[in-house]
Amino acid sequence: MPEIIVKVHDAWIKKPLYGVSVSIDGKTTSTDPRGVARLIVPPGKYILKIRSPDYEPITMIIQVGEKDIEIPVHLRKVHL
Amino acid sequence: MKPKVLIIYSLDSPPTVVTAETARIVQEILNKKCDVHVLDPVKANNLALRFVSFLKEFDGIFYFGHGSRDKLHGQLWLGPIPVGVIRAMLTVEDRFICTKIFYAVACLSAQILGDVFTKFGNARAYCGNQYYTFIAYPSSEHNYAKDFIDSFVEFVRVLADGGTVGEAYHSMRRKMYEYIQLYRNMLDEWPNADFYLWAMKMNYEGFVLLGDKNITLL
Repeated sequence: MPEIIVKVHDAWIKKPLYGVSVSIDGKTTSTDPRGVARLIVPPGKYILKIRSPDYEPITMIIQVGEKDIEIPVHLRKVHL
Repeated sequence: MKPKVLIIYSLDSPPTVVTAETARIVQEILNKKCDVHVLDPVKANNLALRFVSFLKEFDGIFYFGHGSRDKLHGQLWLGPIPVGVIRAMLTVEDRFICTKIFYAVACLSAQILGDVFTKFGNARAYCGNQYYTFIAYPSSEHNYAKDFIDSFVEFVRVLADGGTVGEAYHSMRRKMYEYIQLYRNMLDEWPNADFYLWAMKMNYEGFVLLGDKNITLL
């Protein structure tokens, strides 16, 4: 089954973000210290949600085929 | 004689883009009824603040930018490098700056700074956040930034209409509550409504009014 690799970075200082919640179709995981989260799902259309209390939320629709996909995400801080 | 107000805003990170726009709208509102002095990002530092506060006493100070428990940072020229490398714009040492009303759209400052300013300093009322202040960005589904700006500008609108600081605070919270209800109703329609519901609730719960609630700006 294809793997979805989500790479999450801070949009301003470009550092990888650790502990950001990444969920697809009810499956949830968190990013590792390198800002990477991996999820394995069968091919299909999914809603990808990225959530962190300090950063803006991202919700996107992704199409997963037979191959692995890599999704880079740059998040902006939401608190002052 | 028109009341004198000081507007301070910074522009040093993505969240301050939204607060700088809030400051611009606040300036527009206050320009009609007050003598407005602005410390823009170039002048949002302690030296400029001491200079203007030495020359004038203000009826209101409106701050938009980053803050922490005991300071308001002003313009962070070094970007995300922690405060301490350069002196913060406002600390508890600046408590004798004269103002009737201090409004800080910033994080955490009501915890210590607001308390010190109202109890041991010259501010008669301080409205700020005990927790983090969450801003919002526009997205394709909904312009959340507009809601954020609208809720914080409401405080100034009421003051500019002659209301007390207590009335302004309650009106601001009423506005936030309306947006909380809106997001709650749109949870199934807007993909990011869950996050903004949480963020608006945090602002609703975090903002406090310290000092005298019956002060007016005009």
